[in-house]
Amino acid sequence: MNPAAFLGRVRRNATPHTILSVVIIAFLLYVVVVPLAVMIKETFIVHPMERFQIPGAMPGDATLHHWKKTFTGSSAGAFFFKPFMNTLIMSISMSILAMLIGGILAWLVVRTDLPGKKFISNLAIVPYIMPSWTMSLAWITLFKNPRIGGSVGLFQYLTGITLPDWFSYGMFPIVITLAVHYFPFGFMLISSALENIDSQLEESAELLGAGRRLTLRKIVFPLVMPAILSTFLLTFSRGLGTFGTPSFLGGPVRLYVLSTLLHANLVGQRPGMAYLVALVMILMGSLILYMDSKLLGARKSYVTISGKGGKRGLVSLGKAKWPVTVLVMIFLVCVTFVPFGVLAIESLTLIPGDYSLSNLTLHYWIGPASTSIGLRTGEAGILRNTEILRALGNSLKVGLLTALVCGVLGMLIGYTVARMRGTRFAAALDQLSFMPYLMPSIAFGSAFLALFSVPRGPIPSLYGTLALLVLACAVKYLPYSSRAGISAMMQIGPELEEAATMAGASWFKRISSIIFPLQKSSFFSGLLLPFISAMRELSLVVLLVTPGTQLATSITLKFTDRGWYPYTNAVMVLIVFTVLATTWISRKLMGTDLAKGIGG
Amino acid sequence: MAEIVLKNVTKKFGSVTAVDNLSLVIKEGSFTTLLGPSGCGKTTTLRMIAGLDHPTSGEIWIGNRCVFSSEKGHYVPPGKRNLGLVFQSYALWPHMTVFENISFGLNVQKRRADDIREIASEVAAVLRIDDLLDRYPSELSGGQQQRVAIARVLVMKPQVMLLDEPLSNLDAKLRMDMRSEIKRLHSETGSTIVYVTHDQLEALTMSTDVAVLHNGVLQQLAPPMDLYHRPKNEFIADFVGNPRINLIQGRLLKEHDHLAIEAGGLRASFPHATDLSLVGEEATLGIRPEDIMLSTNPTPEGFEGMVYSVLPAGSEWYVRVRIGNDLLTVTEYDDMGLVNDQPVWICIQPNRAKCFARNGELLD
Repeated sequence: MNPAAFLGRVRRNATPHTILSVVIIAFLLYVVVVPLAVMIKETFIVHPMERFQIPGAMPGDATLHHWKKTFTGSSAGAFFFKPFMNTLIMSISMSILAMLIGGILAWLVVRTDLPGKKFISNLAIVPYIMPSWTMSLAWITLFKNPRIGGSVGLFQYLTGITLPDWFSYGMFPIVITLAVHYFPFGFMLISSALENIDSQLEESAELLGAGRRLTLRKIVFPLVMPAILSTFLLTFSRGLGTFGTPSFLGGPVRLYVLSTLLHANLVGQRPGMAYLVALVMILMGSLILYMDSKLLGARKSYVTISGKGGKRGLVSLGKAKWPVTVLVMIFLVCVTFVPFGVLAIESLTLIPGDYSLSNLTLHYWIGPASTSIGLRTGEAGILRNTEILRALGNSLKVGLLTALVCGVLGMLIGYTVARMRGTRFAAALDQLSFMPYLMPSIAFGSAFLALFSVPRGPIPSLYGTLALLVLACAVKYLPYSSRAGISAMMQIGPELEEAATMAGASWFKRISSIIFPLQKSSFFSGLLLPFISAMRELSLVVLLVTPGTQLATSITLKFTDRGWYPYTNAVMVLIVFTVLATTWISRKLMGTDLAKGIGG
Repeated sequence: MAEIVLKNVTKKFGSVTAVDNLSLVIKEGSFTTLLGPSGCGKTTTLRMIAGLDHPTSGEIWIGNRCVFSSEKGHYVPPGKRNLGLVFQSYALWPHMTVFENISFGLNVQKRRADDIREIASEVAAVLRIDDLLDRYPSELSGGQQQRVAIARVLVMKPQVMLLDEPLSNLDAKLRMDMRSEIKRLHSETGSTIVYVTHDQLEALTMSTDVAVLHNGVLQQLAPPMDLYHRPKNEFIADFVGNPRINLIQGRLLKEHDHLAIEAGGLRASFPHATDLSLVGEEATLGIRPEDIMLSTNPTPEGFEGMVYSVLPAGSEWYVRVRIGNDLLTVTEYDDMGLVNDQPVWICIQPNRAKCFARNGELLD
């Protein structure tokens, strides 16, 4: 090709969205590939505070110390294998439990004559909107036993029974509370899969003489299987990277999983081993990503045979109708109002563990800093506490900025992928922007820590700035908005824009007067999920916050560590309230639908 | 008004060649239709003229201006080519009213508000949508949307109008009406129209010239009647015309100084085909259904057959006749009261039979 021809080709393809996409691809490669290299290097060198553990070594020397200590010898059990097994047990059992709850609920709502479906559907999403460890705090408040000192839980207060350790702390409550947080995933994805099955497929089976049970087993179940498997992998990978719950509930009985081990390694000045754990988690995440993409291929082939769903007869629950309804309602109340209520009540009790009316107080909300009232903490109530208020402000800032960055990038990525459909460039952009999705949050955070703790070339060290938090959240949640953007853009035929091109409209004119107006509602939907996620994020940011950049979520750790639960709970109530209110308002105002953005 | 010239235009999508070395001149003021089955490259060609797709190689000229050249790296963006495109799906912007849709292009040109209003209402009046200006596209019928899509292009006073299967979303009756309207529009505006369709009847009824494309290659460019009566090859003969031409496999033989064909019990001679080296080769006999005459009595030159089925179509009857192993379609304009399995005699109208060589080319 001659130079003129080449230049002409470049000029024709150099539209703003392709240029921006190249930048996005380069940036994603930078924040994904470079940290990996940095982390691998870190596992082979001696760090300043490790001089005394490794005789004769100087900082910066090459060493196999971290690898040996993690994977071999007597320390390997505590430093890797036990937490690794715990992680597997935790993630697998909670995913199975979450799928079961979500799947059954989905079937009940979509396929039976259960009353109050709309209400149930709305309520079933709430546990997912709440921060993941809300449930674990509520669990502690309810079922605390004297092991960790301080007051006893509400259950013991009311019944006088001392609960065993295995019930109050450790694997059992971790699995339960995580399953309760993640079952809405299964519920949403499986119910949409169930709704999308062409009813003719089932009717054909029934006309051929198959009973309901056989149809369910031979037709419905195989058709929703890809959705179920994909949801399972999704939940599993979330469990892998989650930090709050295993930290709160596993800490008291010294139960470690990889995420808490990673955190402990970093806090305990063992960065080499911390990055090793992070690498293992990233490896597991990549494996899941690979498996999911295989499944997604299968799922696509199912989509082509799925029809409009059509009208379909509902399974009558018969006599079981009301008992089932009551059970479902009790369950949903237990996983939404109860934890929220427990936390709210706890934040209103002056001396924890005493639930008499005379002990009610607003001290932890609006009280002055005092060393003589209640827990004698010397901290002001959360609405007067400058440190907490600043953290809340930071959370809002990070949430809004993340949402904005994600929203705009998501739309542009969606636009580029839809316009360049079928090209390798579009596929690369699509896959790369989806990659952070299944990366374990805390490992992703540690990668950012490795990348931005020192200046690299033109990129300054962002450690200690809110910008770093926004960046981490934006990259981590980009998959939500890019998926939403892609599916929304795919629905606008290219002709609508081409018609404007023919009329001579510039790229910016086309975006502002054709594309954006048509995409307004999905754009705002795309903002909502990153905002909520950033507002309630802990695992991702726990390694990245500094005293100056504390977020509402991370600041609760400080109070939890000291046993000052009323503060933690009051902040949690505030976060949950903010998140729920945002969801509700944006739904009322702009008709945004949260369920659309989840699960890609 | 402008002539459009495509020079050696090739378009590849990955390893698939959509348009293969296409050279084509679309005459100024003509109504040229790009005709072919789906996937033949006709829409790609139209989009390359519009500037929405870029040829892999070749040059495109519109009215003495080079708008694309792969060699020179030359490219004029769609908005600056002074042409209008009506999309198959109409592509009306659903969030804008009819007026906003029509005036969009004028707004982009930053014309004065008074001018815009004047031009828009003038064009709207011509297309009889002046009472719909405040409605949204979703509130319009298919035919009305079609008019709006055309109006949106007309306000720009383009020198070339491109139409991409504009009638395929309309029902049969409306399609007929719109055909005549678009044809009338062509004569009134005098602009060059390039029209894409897979409907051969549409191509025949509307165009001044038809370009038949097949697998990305231009087969023939000719006025509609030439195309019908003198198709350059078997593909065109088969694609153009409804009901389809009868094609019967046979073998060439010598008859005096020229060729004749014997095919499935039929025989036809071609006085102008004198390449006797082809004698003995396989070939295909083509006869259009209206070029066959049917008789219930034996005739001297007739070939005997048997009625297979009779299909009345209102103004005419399509009769399927079995001759040997072949089924022929015959168009009859009178009710002959035929019944199945009745013996009939058919006769080919002189000089109407066509013969295609083994490579599909018309033998002349």
